[in-house]
Amino acid sequence: MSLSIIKLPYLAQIEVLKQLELQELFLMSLCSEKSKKLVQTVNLKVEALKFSLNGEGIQVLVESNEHVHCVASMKLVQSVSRDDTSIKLGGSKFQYRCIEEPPTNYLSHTFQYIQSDEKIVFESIQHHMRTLFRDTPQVQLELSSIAALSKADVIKDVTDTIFSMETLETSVLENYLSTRQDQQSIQLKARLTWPLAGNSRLWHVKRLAVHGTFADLVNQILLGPSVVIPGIIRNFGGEHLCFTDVMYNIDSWRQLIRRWRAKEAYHDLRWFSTTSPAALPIIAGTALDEFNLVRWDGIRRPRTVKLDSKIVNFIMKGEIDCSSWMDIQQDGGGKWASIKMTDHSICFVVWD
Amino acid sequence: MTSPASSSEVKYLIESSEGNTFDVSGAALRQSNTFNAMFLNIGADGPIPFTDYNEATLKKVFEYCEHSVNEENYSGPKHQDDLSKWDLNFFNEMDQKMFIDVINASNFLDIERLTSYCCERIARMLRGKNTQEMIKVITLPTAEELEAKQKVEEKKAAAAKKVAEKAAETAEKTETLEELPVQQLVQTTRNKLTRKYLSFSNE
Repeated sequence: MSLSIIKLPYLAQIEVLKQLELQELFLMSLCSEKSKKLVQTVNLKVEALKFSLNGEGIQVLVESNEHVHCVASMKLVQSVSRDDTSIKLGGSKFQYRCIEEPPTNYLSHTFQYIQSDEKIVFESIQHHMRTLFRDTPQVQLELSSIAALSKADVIKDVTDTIFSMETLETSVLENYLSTRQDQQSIQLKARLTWPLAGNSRLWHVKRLAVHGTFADLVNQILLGPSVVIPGIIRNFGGEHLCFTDVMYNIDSWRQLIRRWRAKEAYHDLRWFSTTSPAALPIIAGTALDEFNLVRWDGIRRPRTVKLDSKIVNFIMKGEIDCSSWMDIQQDGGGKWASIKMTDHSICFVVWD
Repeated sequence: MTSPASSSEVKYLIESSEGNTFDVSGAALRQSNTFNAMFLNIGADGPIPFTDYNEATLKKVFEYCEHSVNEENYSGPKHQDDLSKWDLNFFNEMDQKMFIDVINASNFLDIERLTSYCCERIARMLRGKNTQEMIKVITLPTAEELEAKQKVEEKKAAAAKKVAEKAAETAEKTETLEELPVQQLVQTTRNKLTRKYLSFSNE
């Protein structure tokens, strides 16, 4: 059965669209200008648009209501036949082939394009996605290879970048930060080849996350502790610093607390956390004794902390109960902070 | 309208676009928020006119309402897989025209459950489809069709403009040829002469 959706009452049209997945809405928005406008009337609000580049194409993910949905996937191929359909995306037309994915895949369809169209595809998909949603969502970029990095120039207004590759040359990162100076957050899921300089732009990024990789762990076991991580802890000047699955160095973060307490550094720090790899529990022993931590009295600070997912999209979401966390105050009656330490994690939150 | 003791047994007369009337129970009618807002409190004298919809459509809509009288209160869209055999038969036996008419009537009567199920059914038709298949399902004009349509419209507009220009030209010519009223002609000539005299005397 086929029917004309535009002949339905407006509310019914909207109701139909509301029952579709984001991916289906995207496909529908490609059908025609009218259907695109129809999708726009749903007035969808998303927090972030994430463009994931792996050198062989682009994937678009959308963060909405604290969930990430894969919406579109465009893959680079050697050729598409002349019989393949052309598509109008973000005002540009290009030849594509639509491939139906097996039901086990998250996306029902992927689009294939050829090398000569790549720039147009990247620009158009970005433009198209932006027009589908209301307000202006954050633009995030995930780069899975150096090849992807070289193609990423066309993605504009990026405020958050994820480097998700085995190794990342420190100079490449510095160069990236100097060309994209408005980065709000950087996530490193890559092993940095060399410690960053004391004047690195990375220290001015508000949010920094470092995820340890298996290769990194093996390297550290074989060659000794990384010098990169202590350097990051020492120099970071932003608000949120987060390490996951990183070999811990208890002296580094003890130094961090000392310098914060003495108001020597970390003036903007709001959150610091680290988790160790599963096989390497944190053995802190008496590491916290020097700080004279006190129990929460129920008055001096709130019971819970909520890290806004829009701001800190890579850290814990939802409300965190800090009632059992130990408190510490800066020298001279400054800010209060709370610390929690388990076998596998250390969390430190500074209260406003 | 009869009014027995129990309100659920109250029957209302509904009038369709053909002017035909038929009975619907109060319990079924109360699923319509439009009815609740318009007639529930003030009552209805005589048949309730839903004359934008034909008898077959209204009967189909109220058949659904009568059936779902005893179902629990509506709590958001239900997945098509959860629909009962009766629900599925109800939808399957409708042709496309009836289906659209039912959605329109259900939307006007504001019967949330029925509208939502109808919309879910359309959404289901779209799931897993690529753009070309979607275009077929929802009979949207393709980009090419729209382009062709736009070209035709542009041609039509250009032709209309040409005709309008020609007409204006003809009208202008006719106007100059037409005799002006004598008084106006005298006045125009007098004005011209005055202007000439003034320019002459200034020199």
